[in-house]
Amino acid sequence: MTPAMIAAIASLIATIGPLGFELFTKLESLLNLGSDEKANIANAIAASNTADADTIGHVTAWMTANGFKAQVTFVQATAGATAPPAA
Amino acid sequence: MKKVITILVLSLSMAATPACIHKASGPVTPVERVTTDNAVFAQLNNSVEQGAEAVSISGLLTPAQVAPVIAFTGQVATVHEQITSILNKGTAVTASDYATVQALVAQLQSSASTLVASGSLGIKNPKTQQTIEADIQSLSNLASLILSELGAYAPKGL
Repeated sequence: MTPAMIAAIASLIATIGPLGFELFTKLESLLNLGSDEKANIANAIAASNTADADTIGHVTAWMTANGFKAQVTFVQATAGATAPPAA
Repeated sequence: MKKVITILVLSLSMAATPACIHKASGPVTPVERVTTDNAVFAQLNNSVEQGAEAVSISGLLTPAQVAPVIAFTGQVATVHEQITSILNKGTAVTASDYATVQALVAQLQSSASTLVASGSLGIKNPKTQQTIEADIQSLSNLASLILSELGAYAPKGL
C-alpha cells in the first residue's frame, strides 16, 4: 500500500467515519461478484445469514442491557406503537 | 470520496441497485441478483441497528427513543431469515414460496411505516450517512426490489 493510498483512506475515514467506512467495504465486497454463479449465490446467502444472526444477537443484548423485553417477532402494527415495556 | 458516497447512497436506494452489481465475467443471473440484493438488505438492517446503538451511546436519543428502532431491526432480521431460506432454493422456488415472501415483505413494510410515523427519526445514522428514517425507507424499498426480482423467475398465482 502506497503512502498516497494510506492518505486517501485516512481522508475517507475522516469524512464518513469508521462506521461508514466499515459499511462501505462490506457493501463493495457484496456487490463485486466472481465468475462462479454457485459460489456467488452461496456467498450472498451466507452473508445474509451472518448479518441477520449478528443483528438478532445485538438486539437481544442491547434490549436486555437497557431493561427492555427482547422481542424479535413482529407484533401487529398499530398506530402510536411505542417501545416494548421494560422487563 | 465521490465513489464511496455514491456506492453507499446508490446501494441503499431501490432503482440504482441493479447497476451497482459487478461480475468478473458473464452476465449477472436473476438468482445472483436477488441474493446479492438480499445480502445488501441484511447488511443495511444490521447497520441500522448498530447506528441506532451508536446514536443512543452518543446521547442524541435516549434508550427509550431508540428502542423501537432496535426492536424493529431484530424483527426484520427474524423475518428476513425466512426470506433468505426461500431464496436459497434458487430457481426451485414455488408459487407458494413467492406468496410467502410477498406476505413477509408486506408485513415488514407495514411495520416500517408504523415506525416512521410514530416518532422523530431524523437523526443521522453514522454508519449509513443518512437519517434513520431514510434508512428504514431504504429497507422498505429494497424489500420491494427483492420481491420484484424474485418475481422475475418464480412461478406465481396460487
